[in-house]
Amino acid sequence: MTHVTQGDGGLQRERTRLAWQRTALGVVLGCAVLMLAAIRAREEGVVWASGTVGVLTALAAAFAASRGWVHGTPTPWRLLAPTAGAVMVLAILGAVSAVVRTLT
Amino acid sequence: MSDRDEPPPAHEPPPRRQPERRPESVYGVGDDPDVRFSLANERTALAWIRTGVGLVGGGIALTSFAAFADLSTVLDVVAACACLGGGVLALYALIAWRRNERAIRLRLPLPPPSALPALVIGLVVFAVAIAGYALWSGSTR
Repeated sequence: MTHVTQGDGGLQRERTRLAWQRTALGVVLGCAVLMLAAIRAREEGVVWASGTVGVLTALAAAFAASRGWVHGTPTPWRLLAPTAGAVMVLAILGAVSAVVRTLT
Repeated sequence: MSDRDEPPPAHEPPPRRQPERRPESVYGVGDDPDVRFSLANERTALAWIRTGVGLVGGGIALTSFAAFADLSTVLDVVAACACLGGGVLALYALIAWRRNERAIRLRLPLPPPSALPALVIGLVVFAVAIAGYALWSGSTR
């Protein structure tokens, strides 16, 4: 078993932290786009749902950044699963929004 | 008797217990690998999630623009497909992370990125559909 605890010439932790930040930013921006589109289309349910997902993602990202980040605590799964879940919720809302426009 | 052989003082706190790591199906097998491999696997999963976010964002933008410009409902169908494809990629990110982490821990060869051909084909179909719509709407104007 080997661990990179000294040096870290590849800046692995920083790169991973930045990858998390980019992902959170992408999710929040996606929520913002969907919310603006839903406001325009007067789809109140989608507005609230996308707004909630966006705010929760932003709060989680801010909380994670303020705590600092240590690999393995918690395990990536504890963060990956909710993030992927947020994207899936966003995908379903977007698809529903598009289908509703097709039908109306 | 050397210092090394002395028992620890009685007042010394017991060693901190390692918190249980989940999922058990990943961390219950094999050995901890070089942390660089785990971090690279984590970044790969995040890259898949961002690809999914991109597809979802593109779909939302497309359906919004179609509604704004009063374009054909064909675009809404394409947008719905893009959104659902993005959701599937986010799910794939989780599955691939778990699969790769298990392989790394068990010192097995990494499985191939099975979603990559599907993503490429999907993007080509998406591009052809949009290009076809552009040509069709241009010829009927």
